[in-house]
Amino acid sequence: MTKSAPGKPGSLSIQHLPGLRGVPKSDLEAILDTAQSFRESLDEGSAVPKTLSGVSVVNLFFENSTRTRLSFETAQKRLGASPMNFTASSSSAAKGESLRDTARNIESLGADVFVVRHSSAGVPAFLASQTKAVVVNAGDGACEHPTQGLLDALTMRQHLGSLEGKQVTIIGDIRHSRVARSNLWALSTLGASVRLWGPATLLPRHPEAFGSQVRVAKSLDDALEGSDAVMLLRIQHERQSSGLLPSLREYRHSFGLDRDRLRLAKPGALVLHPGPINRGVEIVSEIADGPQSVILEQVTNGVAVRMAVLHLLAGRNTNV
Amino acid sequence: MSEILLPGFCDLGCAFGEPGSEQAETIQSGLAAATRGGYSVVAMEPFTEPPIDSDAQVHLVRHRAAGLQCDLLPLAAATRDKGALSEMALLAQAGAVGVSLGDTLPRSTSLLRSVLEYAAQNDLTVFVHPCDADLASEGIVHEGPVAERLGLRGIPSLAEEIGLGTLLPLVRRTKARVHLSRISSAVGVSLVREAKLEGLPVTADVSFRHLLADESILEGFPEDWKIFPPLRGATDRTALWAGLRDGSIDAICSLHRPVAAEVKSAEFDKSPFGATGLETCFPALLAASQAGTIPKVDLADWVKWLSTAPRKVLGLEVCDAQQEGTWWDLGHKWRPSEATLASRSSNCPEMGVELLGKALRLRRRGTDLELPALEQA
Repeated sequence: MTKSAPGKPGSLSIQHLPGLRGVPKSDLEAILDTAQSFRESLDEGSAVPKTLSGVSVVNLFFENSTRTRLSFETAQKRLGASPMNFTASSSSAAKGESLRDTARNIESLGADVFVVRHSSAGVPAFLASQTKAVVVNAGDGACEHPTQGLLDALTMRQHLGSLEGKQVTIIGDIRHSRVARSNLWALSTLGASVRLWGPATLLPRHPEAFGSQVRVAKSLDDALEGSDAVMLLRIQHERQSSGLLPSLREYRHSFGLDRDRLRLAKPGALVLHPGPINRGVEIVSEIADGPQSVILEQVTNGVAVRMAVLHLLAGRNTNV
Repeated sequence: MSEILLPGFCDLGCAFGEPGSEQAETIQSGLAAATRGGYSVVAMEPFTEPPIDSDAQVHLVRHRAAGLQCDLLPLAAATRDKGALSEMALLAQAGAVGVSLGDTLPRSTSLLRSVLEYAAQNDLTVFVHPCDADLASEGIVHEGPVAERLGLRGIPSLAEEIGLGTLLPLVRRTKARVHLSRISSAVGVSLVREAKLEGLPVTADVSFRHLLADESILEGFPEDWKIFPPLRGATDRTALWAGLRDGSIDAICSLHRPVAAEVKSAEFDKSPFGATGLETCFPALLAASQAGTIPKVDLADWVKWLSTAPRKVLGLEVCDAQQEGTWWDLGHKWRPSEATLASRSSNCPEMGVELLGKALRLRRRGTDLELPALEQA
């Protein structure tokens, strides 16, 4: 891939990034192209334009996060911003404050960009409707995690080229996964087909909701056969106590990715995982650390994608 | 402007906030809203804080409603202290028009059976939305494609199907009179239809919002459309209309559930269920009918579904408009706002939406009267 310059701030048709659903293909490609350019600059150690210099960025994390927040902060600092961090473990309702109050308070901070994570679906979309600032979703309930979807798409694109016509398999707790949802929207728009597999209790009951390019597989073999990329989702341990999963042992037995199973996919198929990995549950270490794994590349791409989103939505044109 | 005098409407289970949540709705503000929506009698759900589960509470509610221009017929809680039968004989004597189990069936089927046996002996109708409590628990919206896309926990139609599957055999055995409130699904309509064909003593209603909209309206997380039972799929909405047309469903209800703004405007999953509806029910239906988003309906059918049929469920005679009615301008277009609605709560999905038909004056005991004044903010 030849090195290209990052896109111009303000060149996207979207003003916020509450999710990837409905984002036009041209915007997705523009973000990925810019992310690719930033990724190459990071690899070379070359300078990137400080287009967030003087831009006021606030990270609003209403739900615990270390990795995503760190990735956003890194991206912000690389682009010259000095982000402020606000963390609260409880919802507005728990504090006796309405979400509208929260929005007004946030608006009064006078920031230009809000990166928002919240345990309730729809909060970033709501805040976007209430504020003049740019809102970027860093994960809302089980709804969306758009920068994760973008970094996954970037990682796949780097290895597979165009995603048009490619087969992607997602295995795990699809029903409760914002990562899965954002991936489904992005991959569909970019022309890939997606097959879903996991315990029946954690699969979507209405997969038709995601359109004709997405289907629930009939078996693990059916899910993996001929796939270009296999994405594994983290299993939350609390699914056992809520009656959705018998045990991690049973999960590994029926759904864990090992070398034999991976052979069903195309030779050299990519293996992705949003992390953190339950080694020996979703995936054996041999695969996680093996040549087909791009799990650590995903992390590096996360910074590049977040830089691209912030640069394109909130950057200021500079002559630097 | 053409004026027409229609019989007073009757609602089968609105909720007010008195006692306990007067900031959301008092009995006075709720009845003012009802009157301005064309109602002359409403049955009030008992799930206040504390609930209406004693004869003293029934007397209190009736006292608070005395002298207002819309009659209030209290429903009393069918159970109390989460598991005991309420004093149905005393409740009936105090003026309760029926007993209610609310939005879900008791988790104990034995208790449900006892409620039906004892209500039948006391000649009280049992009001309930026939929903399995466990399947519906923690659900946010209808379990369908919209819930799937938004990552929200669903309330399946299966909860209504299993609720009716539990309830109807008990009705068959106990011969209790049961009003099935707020039927919301296609499978629910067909089970009610079969029950009526069999001759079981059941009646049913549907909320006007389930006739107007389906789950697709929830795509943008509009909390005012978050109601219980949830708006279901397009085929469910079609089936509800068919059920209303063929008499499987008797009446249209307002599903009036005021919620104070500071509570309602929480995150979508934390926002309580409920929307106000008494003032906008008929005008929203008229506007949708004219716009073609719901079927064309004769005025006589609206009157049947909003007045005659629900009155019959409550054991009331057909309403004579000359004695008890509302003067309407059915061509008047208006947009509800906090300033034009009598309800104390503003959780109304029709806020700012153009509606058709406005109440002008009342007729009570054969005399024309002004509408109750709006509360001063």
